[in-house]
Amino acid sequence: MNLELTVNGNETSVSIDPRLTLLDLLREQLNLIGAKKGCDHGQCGACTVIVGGKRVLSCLTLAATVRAPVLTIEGLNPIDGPLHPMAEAFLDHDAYQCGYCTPGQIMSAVAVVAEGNAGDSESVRLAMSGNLCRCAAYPNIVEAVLDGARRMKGGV
Amino acid sequence: MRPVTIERAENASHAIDCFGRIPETSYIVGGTSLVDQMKLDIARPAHLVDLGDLRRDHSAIIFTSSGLSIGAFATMTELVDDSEVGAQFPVISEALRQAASPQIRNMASIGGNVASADTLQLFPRSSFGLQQEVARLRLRRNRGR
Repeated sequence: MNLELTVNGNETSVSIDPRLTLLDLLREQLNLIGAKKGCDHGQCGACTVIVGGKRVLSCLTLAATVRAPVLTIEGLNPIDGPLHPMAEAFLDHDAYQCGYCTPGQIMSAVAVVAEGNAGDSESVRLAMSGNLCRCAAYPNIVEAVLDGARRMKGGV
Repeated sequence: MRPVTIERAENASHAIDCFGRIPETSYIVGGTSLVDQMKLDIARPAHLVDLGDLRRDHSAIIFTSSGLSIGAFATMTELVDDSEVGAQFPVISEALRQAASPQIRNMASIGGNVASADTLQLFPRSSFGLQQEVARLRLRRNRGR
């Protein structure tokens, strides 16, 4: 089937199998490999992207059902532009070890700021609970989200 | 995952028409349970009817004289974020806030929670989606909480 969707501001038309998840569409057909396949069952958050302004799990989203614009880590950090303030904060706070979960963490963190839940560490821990980090870099992730929120000053 | 076909329902009556035209049809909205069950080969639909376009008209959260009416397509997040629901039905907000993850709550519909055959969920399969009236949860107001 044919599908038209907007990814990182670019309108694109793709031919897909109805079974294709948004994650596999991004990674295998659009060559956007920032979103990661961790568990592929909606438990780890490594595949988190923003669709229509809301953070969702791309591994549990059938591409055929996507209607709203998709924003991935590549769209947040265009290759020819500056790093997004939240990504900068993750770097500065060393908020990762292996880095595999980091794109999902950053996409979630940006959404947490928009949701108004980045005011204190307790709120951040709750709001970021859908993103697992097997390296357990959680203390630095919380610091990065709090600092990133200050750097974003409410905007994205 | 087994092969499947998919179509988008334009409105409620179209959704009803679609259902049953092809054997082993499932409705899909959030997909958080169904897609995972399809990956695990637990759910084996041959055809999916995507109800996403019905969200706009059937997701209102309305206080009525007898209680609370929740549109079937309201997401868990929309229900959590409704301050009036939090004030009058704190058990709903508190329960949902502890369920799943923020990302899943952004995707999953309340109607899907009711209608899904997910064995992890408490509600039995209902006739959700067959008619608008059925597709609403009716909760009695409990002033004593």
